Amino acid sequence: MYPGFFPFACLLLTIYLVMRGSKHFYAALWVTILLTAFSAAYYSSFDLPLLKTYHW
Amino acid sequence: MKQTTSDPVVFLNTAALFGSALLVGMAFSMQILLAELPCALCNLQRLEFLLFGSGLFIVLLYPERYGSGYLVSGISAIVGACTAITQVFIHILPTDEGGVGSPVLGFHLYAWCFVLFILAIAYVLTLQSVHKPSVVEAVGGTGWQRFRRQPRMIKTTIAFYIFIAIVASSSAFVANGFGPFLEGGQQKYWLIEVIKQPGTEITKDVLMGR
Repeated sequence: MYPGFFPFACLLLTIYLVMRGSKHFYAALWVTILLTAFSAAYYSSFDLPLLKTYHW
Repeated sequence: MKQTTSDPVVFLNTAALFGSALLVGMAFSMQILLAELPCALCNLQRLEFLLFGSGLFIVLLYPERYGSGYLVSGISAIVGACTAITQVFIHILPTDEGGVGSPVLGFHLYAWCFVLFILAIAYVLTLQSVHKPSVVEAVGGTGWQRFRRQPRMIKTTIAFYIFIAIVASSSAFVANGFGPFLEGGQQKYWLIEVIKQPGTEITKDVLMGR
């Protein structure tokens, strides 16, 4: 099961690293973007069988 | 030259950052006031608005890295538009019973999101083309030191954005915990059910109120 909370946690980590001035904040930001894109794909494909019944 | 909000680019970025945080704040208010929990795609659109804001947040705090800040905002807006249009297509069929959630000014929130993400893409493309390196100042220090040097308007906006990011993330955790987001129609919060029924497994059916 894929925890929906993951990308939100990464976003909070990114904000923390930006405020701290860490050099690694870009890495955290790109991980957040990739996780968000993955989540969008995951939940959209998850929805496809439901689309067939015209229900989300 | 210190960064000021009299510079139109800085002002517009501050306003856009405030707008993205305000949108997520309004969605959260609707969630509480109308007792409508967000579905998976709604949660993702909130996240994408916050990510759009995070690019502008970097442009404001690290003006010398404005290119990558706009890139992050642009990619987030594109992913957000894709998510929003997916949800519009899911609910576009005639058999769908009026979409999910309460409409605002005749449009459901996901339809508004699509419009706003397209505007966000246009905004980023325009701003990155008019943002001149000469108007930015390379300032040193950590993000926190840079934050303290900003004018009050930018400081307030950044503080509001961080507050909304924490609220939206907490809401996502309280609603679904370590499980995946659910489809529309979720009735109960995962964390509240865990507190109410300690030791009981909280299944999807419990959260959906079945």
